[in-house]
Amino acid sequence: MDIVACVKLVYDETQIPLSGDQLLIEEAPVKISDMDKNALEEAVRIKEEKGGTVTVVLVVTGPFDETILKEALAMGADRALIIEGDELVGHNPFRTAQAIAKAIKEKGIGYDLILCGEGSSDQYSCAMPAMLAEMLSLPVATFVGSMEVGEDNVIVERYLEGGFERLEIPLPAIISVTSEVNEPRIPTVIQIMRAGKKEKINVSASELNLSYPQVELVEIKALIKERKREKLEGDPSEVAKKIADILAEKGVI
Amino acid sequence: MMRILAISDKINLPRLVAAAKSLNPKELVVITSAEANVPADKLIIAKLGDGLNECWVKLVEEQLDGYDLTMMPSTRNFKEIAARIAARKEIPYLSEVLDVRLEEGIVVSRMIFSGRGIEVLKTQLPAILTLNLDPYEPLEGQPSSVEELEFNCSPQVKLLERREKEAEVDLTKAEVIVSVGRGLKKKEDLDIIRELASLLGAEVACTRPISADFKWLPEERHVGMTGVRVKPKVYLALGISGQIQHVVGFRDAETVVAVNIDPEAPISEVSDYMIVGDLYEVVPKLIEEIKRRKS
Repeated sequence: MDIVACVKLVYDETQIPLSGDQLLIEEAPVKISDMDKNALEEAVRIKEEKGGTVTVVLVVTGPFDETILKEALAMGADRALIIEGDELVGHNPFRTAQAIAKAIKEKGIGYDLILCGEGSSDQYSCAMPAMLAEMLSLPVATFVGSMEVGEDNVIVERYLEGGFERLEIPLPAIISVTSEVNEPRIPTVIQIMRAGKKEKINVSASELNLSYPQVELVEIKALIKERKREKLEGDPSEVAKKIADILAEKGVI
Repeated sequence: MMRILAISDKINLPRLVAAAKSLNPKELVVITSAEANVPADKLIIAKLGDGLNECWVKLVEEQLDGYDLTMMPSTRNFKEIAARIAARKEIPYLSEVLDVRLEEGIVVSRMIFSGRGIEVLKTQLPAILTLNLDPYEPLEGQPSSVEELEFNCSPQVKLLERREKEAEVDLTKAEVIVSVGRGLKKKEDLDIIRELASLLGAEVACTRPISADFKWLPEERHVGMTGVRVKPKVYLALGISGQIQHVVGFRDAETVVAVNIDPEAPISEVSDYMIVGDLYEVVPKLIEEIKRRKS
């Protein structure tokens, strides 16, 4: 089974420094978007069980870090397809999906299954997998928390706000996964070193004739919620009394 | 003056209509799957069989032309439906929109980086939005006209089963929440947490590891980016380190009280009162103290 896993590299949102109401985004380290790791892990697990190949597809819409790409390959992918170009930078899931659709066609990357994370850790639009499905005319299931791949279909369980939906989908198909689907492996240092030798296919966005609806970024601001940030110390009975006072003041007891 | 198409499930419809009406459209047409009491110019009740996303996509694709703005709630289903239609129609789609205003096209704001930031985006009409409806009060009223629409659709995807969650709780309505994180050492220890919650008339909630990894509590009690967003009067965070994916879930709490053994834990930055202590010592004393005050 040939599987494509779509991966986004993002600034680690937990480590973005703050300066007044500005986020110093570019000072944060780069990571693989959280749920894309689940998608890649699922791809590798299916390959390990059924044979085939895993291709990591990476659209550089923001930061790029060679080491992090190696980490993705070291998780068990066979090769990487990297799509780059100035015009790809910024929030535009339509453009990202189109770049992937066109690049895998152009480079003749075969697939029975395409896996993506439900949404990215930075934008969390959750739009790209569904858009990619439309552009490749494939059936899609989003927000999949567990899945079972058969010969020519896949049974998925979608995790929704109010419950679960079990679907049977013919292959080839696109699936976006939630973090419940698996626990991603952590590659060893040796695996990461060896991953440097794996095949990398580079595609420039300018080769792809992209055309997409424009979305303009006006600004980004830090979202700050003012809190009192008082520290209360003392022995457990003392602090328990203080908490009770706060609860009483709020009318809770 | 705009023509707006609003598409929604039953639960979210009254608040979606409120959001649409706030833009003063010339015409508001609603498509939903059941009868509804909302003040639209036209209400279309679509009969969609199994109601699979694929069929919604085909139906909306046929109806969409001529509208300036198509609005849907930011549920997981509608986020898929909206994205697919936007791809088919090649028009802009913006998701999880917190705020929208008209200004030579539209300007929206949405949360990014797990709630650490807000981005403001601008695009042209026609466009599709999915909206976070928390800020809107449900709007009810008589639709001016009602129409039924039979829609035949033969999806590629087959529905095998739908199961509802055992919905024992809706945390978004809780006034007081007692929430636990990885400071809790074992499942049995939830007993004292539940005892405290019941004394306070509070609901029990948790961080993602407690529900998703350990499965000590159901997913509907997970507060955070991919869980529930709550707005209680008091949020009591016990043994919670304060990772931002969790913090975004209680942003709108009036008062946050945290108990954590580590004075440097990030939770201290996002709480009103940070008690430096072991929850296993503090919680039993707090239970005693509340019982004493109640008697």
